[in-house]
Amino acid sequence: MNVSPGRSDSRGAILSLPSVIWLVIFFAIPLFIMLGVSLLTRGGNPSDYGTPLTLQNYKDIFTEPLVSTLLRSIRIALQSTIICFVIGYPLAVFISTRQNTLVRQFSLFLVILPFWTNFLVRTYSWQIILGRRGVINEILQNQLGLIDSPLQLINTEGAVLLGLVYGFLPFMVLPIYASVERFNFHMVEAAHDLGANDWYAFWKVMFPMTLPGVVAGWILVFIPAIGAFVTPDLLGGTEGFMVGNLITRQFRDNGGSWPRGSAASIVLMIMVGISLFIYQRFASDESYARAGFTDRINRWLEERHIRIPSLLSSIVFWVLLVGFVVYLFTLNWTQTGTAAAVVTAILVGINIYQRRMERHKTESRSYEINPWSVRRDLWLRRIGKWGLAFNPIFSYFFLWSPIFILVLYSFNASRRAGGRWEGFSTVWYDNIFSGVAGSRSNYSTEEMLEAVETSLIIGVVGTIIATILGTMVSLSLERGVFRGKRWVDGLLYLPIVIPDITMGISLLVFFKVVFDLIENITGSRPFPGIANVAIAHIAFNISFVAIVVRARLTDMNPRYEEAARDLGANEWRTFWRITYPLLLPGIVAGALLAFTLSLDDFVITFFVSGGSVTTLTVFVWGLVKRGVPPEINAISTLMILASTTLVLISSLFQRNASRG
Amino acid sequence: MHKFFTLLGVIILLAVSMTATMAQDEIAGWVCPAGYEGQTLRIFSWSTYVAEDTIPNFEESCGVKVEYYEFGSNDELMAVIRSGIARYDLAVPSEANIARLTGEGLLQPLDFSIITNVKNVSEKFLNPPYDPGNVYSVPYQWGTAGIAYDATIVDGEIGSWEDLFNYDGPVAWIDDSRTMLSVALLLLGYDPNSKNPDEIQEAKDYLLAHSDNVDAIASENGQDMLLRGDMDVVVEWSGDLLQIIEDCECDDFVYVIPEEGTNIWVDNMAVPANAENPRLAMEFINYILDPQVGADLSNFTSYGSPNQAAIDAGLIDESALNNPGIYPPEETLQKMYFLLDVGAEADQYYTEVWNDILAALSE
Amino acid sequence: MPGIDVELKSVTKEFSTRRGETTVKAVDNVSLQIMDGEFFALLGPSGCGKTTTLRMIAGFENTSSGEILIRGKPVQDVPPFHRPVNTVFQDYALFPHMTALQNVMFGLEMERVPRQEARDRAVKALELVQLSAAVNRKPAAMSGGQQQRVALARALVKNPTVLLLDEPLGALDLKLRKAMQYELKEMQKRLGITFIYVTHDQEEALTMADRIAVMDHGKVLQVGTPEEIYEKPHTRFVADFIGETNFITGTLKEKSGTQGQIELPDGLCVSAILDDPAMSLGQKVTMAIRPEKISLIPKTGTIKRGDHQEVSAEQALADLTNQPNMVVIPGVLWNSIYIGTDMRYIAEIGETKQEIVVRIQNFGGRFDQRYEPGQSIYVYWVTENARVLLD
Repeated sequence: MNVSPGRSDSRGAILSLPSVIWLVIFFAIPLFIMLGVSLLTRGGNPSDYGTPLTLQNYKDIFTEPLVSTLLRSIRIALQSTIICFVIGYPLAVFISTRQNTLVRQFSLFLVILPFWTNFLVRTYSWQIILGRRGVINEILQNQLGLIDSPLQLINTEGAVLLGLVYGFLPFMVLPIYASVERFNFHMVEAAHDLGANDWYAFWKVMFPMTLPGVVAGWILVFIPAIGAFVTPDLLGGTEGFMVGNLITRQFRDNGGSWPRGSAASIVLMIMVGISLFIYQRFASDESYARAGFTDRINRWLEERHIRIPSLLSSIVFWVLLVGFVVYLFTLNWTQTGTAAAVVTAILVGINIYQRRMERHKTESRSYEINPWSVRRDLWLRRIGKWGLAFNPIFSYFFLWSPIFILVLYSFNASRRAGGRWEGFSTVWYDNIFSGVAGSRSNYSTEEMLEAVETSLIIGVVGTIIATILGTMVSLSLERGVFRGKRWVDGLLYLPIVIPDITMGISLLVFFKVVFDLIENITGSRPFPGIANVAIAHIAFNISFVAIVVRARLTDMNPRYEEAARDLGANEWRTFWRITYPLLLPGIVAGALLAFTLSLDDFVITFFVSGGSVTTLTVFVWGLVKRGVPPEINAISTLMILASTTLVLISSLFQRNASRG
Repeated sequence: MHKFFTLLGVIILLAVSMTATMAQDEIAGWVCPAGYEGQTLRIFSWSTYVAEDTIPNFEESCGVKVEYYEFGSNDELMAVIRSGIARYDLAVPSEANIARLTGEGLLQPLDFSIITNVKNVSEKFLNPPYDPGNVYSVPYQWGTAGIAYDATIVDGEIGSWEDLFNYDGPVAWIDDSRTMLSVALLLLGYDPNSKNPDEIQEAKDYLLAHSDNVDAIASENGQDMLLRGDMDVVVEWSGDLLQIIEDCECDDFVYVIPEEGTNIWVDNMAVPANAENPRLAMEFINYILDPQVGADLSNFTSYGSPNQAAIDAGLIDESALNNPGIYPPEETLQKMYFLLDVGAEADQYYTEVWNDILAALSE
Repeated sequence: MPGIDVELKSVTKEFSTRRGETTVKAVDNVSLQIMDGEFFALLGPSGCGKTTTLRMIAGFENTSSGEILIRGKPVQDVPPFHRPVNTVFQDYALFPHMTALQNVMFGLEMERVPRQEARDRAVKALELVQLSAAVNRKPAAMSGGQQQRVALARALVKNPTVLLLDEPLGALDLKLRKAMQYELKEMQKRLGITFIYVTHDQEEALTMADRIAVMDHGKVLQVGTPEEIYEKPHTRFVADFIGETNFITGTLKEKSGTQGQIELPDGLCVSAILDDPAMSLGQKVTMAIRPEKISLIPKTGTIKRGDHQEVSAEQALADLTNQPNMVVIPGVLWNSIYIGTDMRYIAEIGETKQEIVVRIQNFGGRFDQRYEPGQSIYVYWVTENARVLLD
């Protein structure tokens, strides 16, 4: 890291200080309080707790029936991670291998854009598609006549899985894209040159080298998936009871228990911690260095002079891998066994074949090209190419069809907000724009606008503070030298990797503890509501702003600043005249990201406010959860339109800024 | 037990009184007293539980702002009120929860110098066992938990809990621990308000044994699932379903009160102890108890009105009064039961058992 | 007579431009025969198609038309991993997640050579390139030269029929490059493997290759031994690209056999060797003379001779003009550059003030004759050293 002379240690640290204080008070301390609460005994009320200290809450989680919920959540999270990987890796390769810059950016944009659409809206759109009278069943049953009775798609675990994959696919694609873009495709040629066919070239060379992105993607998908509670709630019915819902119930339900909910959150944190540890091991700077897991096993065996036939070791490896995946998805030992047997048979078959080939090999320099293996490898290549060609078509269809259907159905005359098309109508838009209250009292245009206003207030205030603090801490970390920098770094990254629900709950517990304390001292209890939400949003947005601004700072040549100081500008003037204008696109991008995240947040807002602040997402939650008004598709469409416009404006702005 | 019979008596009387001729003077329109301008009233209530203009009219008359926050189950209401994180001026808990909240000191006494309209409330709803002398609460609406289904899809009729449990097709239960467990207790021949853990456990097993057709646990949105066609049969509060039926002109939807009997409940307006504007809340209570306002409210929500004056004045829709789903006939009422306060310990047991059911259902 | 290892028959490679409207011929109708055990260099400026040619042989690119045969077998439909050729890449393309040993073992693993045998062979290959010390190092921890050696070992361990080298020394510094050139050549001789070596460095090609193909704009201009290419370039491009050359344009006045008389623009007639005896009289031609084949004498003063004698400039001039096949032209020196091994003089000769570069080896000591800018001189060369080329 370049270190500019002239910025003293203490000043570098001072710039970090506000963020550090903020994150310690509103992030670290709440987590510790939550840890403390998780070790206490539940009182008469869910929110009451006290001595004695106990591990009972953890015991509860690890006994039936809660432990099955936990295991199921891990399973569903793993499944969605695997599916995201299988879809996301080829998609990332497709995008990053586009030669034309414009095409590449557009392909990437198409993946990111749905991600800027409200999470609740996107999840809700699957209700229209998957419902028993949803789009799919309508088409299959009434249009094509393929089925007699509707398929049970919604309210199944499959629907939860689908929703999670849909929601988190961009998290998988983006880091892999970054890795693949850095990947030098010469390496694949080198592997081919050394005799590796496409299969080996991928698994032995390309995959290990892009592993940091893959691991990052796995973590970015796994963590929110395991903490998910909106998706299972909206799509899973009884089968959608995941650990997130379990935690939610501990806090929002009379049968709950804050200590137990805290304990469950801590368990979630531990799983996050394990994931991060794996990330650290496999994707840190030395990165793919450690990737050769099988190599390490091989070396370990070699050092002990244990010789395992390569056939056996590859059978063990593939049977374990395939068996794990098959069992994860089927939970059926018979099928797992079948899959393992098939894998073994294939491996043995290949081995026998190869031995026979080897017998024909001659030692002379004249070479034999085995036409069978050429044909096999060309087929392999063809399959790969088809896959690579089909994947983006499928992926983009998958990412965009719910949005298109939502928009389409916002013009559906039917009141039922379901899948049946009953003619074109703009009546729902008319209702919204003419301010006519919806049929139900929990929805009116006025209320919606109030919710928008609340969201905007929180968003703007939160974004401004988070942007200032985030920019300061970025400058301090990128340009300053001081002790404890690594700790600040770590503190800054934690809010990003911690599941929303854990953060929301720890803050809920924190505010309760603090308010109880204030009430005991002063006799009156504060109810900041909206301020709680803003504080929480700032706490996670500092980190996101810092990431974006730091990326810009890293790219920025510190010589400019040195030149300015050389020319006699003091630090203050250097910042405003040189650093700030150069940094502005990064700051704007960070602020826009923070603003979007703030507008999009539901989980943290919901918990931190105790449900007493109606932001736009909380409002939408009310719509999709209780008393769905027929206007919902139109409202969602308007929200999509608004966020798309926001993103387009921001990207135009960034483009201009980077040009200027 | 005696509380239960008292309430049952109240209900029977109520049913009888509905056919009685009205004998009331004209109803004075409600006027908002001055002095509240600029205040904010924060209400914590069920969704779809006020008429379209109930709140706008109040806001306009008083020059105040009303914020309406929703919860999806009695359990959620209790958890939020007790946590002390959010602050509301008015909450609408059902009868058993009034007793619990009062016992925990979370409600404040009502000021009947403001709530003069209490005189409009049917005497049968006053001085209830869960709040003797109406110190902390006055009734808001009452209704039942019943079964609704889409007659175009369901073959034959569903008239009982038994039918529901045996139905072959997607079913949604309601997310309310006491309501669902009481049904099982009833069918098992136990007291629906049982405090006996063994009986409750048995009820849990009964529910789980009959849960094969359950696809979702609806937190007060069963009517939407029915409407979307995701469910053939749902358990829901009467009004939520009747509203939907009226709203979308879905004549194929049927609401039935199960033969075996069901939970009848009364939701009450109460002011939390930490309310910011308790006087405004009481003013709002007074406003709701106005015959015209109360009638409009009930006509919209399709729940039963405790406002005798409104009924007597003929302000309640005739069709509603004749709808056995809203105002059930006497013989039906006799089979109904209130969910009474079972005490903190049993209450916690109920909710924990319910959570276990949810976890088990997900397998 | 060794057999043909690699044969290209009228190979053409077209790339379509972005919009697909026009195509660019990266390789244009190239035919080559590369012999078994030969060190063959493809030489040309960047973008001349030499790397594309190599990539087609390796199998990374398909041919648009024409045929490639390796040991007599057409390989169009054979993917690179089934061709008996291996490549040393310009950027080495070492796998960064593997140690040197693992990199070298990779190709053997792909051949399913038993692990122990693969390890032994890899260690031997690394010994061959003198890298035994760095077997367990990752590429990031190695110097450029070491990486280069690993890349070489990795390809050689496969025992390929043909080894393709794509500017393998391009990233090394001068000294290391020289050493590696020598080593590579030695190794090739010892192993007897056919090398196809792509380079834009003519010196490298000249010092290492048995034969060189000079390419430009996708076409092979000339194939021959280094000497042929250097001494007898067929085109102006080849002459210009290989080494430094003075070009003097003129008109062909007379010819007899390979001898021709060229009339320079100022009327002076000089004789030179015709590259193509079929050149017609009156044709505009270019005469190419290498700077080291030109010498100088001063117009006035004295000149040192090899036999310790000092003779006057006039005497020296007379001696020169008396010799047959000697061209002597007066001129003025305007720049002299000291470049260590040589003195490099730039002079303007004749009435047209044709610029000409002369290199005189820096013998040192008393044989040294220094010239100063502004000095009047004569340049002279033997007619055989001037070759007449078509433009």
